[in-house]
Amino acid sequence: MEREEIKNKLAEIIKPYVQDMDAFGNISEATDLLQDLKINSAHLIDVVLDVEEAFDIEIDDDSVEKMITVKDSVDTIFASVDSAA
Amino acid sequence: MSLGNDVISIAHLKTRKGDRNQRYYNKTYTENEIRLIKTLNIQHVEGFFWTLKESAYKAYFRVIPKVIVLPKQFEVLSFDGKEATVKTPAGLMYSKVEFTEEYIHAACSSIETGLQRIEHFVFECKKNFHQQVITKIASFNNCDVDQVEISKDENNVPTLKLENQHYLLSLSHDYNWGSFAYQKQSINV
Repeated sequence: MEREEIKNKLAEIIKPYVQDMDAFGNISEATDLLQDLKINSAHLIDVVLDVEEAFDIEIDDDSVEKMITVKDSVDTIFASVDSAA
Repeated sequence: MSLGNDVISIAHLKTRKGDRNQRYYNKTYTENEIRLIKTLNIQHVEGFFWTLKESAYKAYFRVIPKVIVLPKQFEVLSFDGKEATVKTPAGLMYSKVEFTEEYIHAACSSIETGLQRIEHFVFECKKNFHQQVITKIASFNNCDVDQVEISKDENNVPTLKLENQHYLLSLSHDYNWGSFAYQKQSINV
């Protein structure tokens, strides 16, 4: 799976949790999930669970800790998908 | 000293079923917390634990502005339904909880006796959260709203300026509920 494909799929997953749709409209790899998109921290674990289901992967606690920006998240998913292949 | 506070709307507590609930538990709570939750016969116990973790995170973030995504890093060590101790990467936080049928609120301090030096308030808030906070703080302190100012640093951490004195401030907003907590004693800036 290509990074761009992962990024697009990730954007679909996080969209229901986003509270700043203007920031979502300008989403880039530097976008911060909490600070920029204003995703409620209570929903971050749900984002992770959705990602695990959508990509059929398991994200360990250390990796969850690194999922702060879109780039961090794509990197984490990319590595997990790659190792699962 | 640091402080934090958090409010959540009970009406909007999310429920998860089956395997998803178990996976959520495993990513959110430590084994010790899961054991503690099982010993407590408290309705909405997960909501209580969440507000305790989130308020502790806010107090931690004020001191060490490092984004931590994993809630397990903030472990509720003890909880009796009213008071709690929460372990954070920066040390212990001492918390107290209040609740109604509509919301759960937690406030915490990094000092065991610090809660006595914190003013906190929960209010119904559908819009203009910051303005309502300013109005209520002005009212509590019998001063004009012009004497109350909320500023945020580069990490989005708020500080209260009240009649030219600065105070630690924590803000929280969830659906129709807002809350704030501030230290009664001013700080040097």
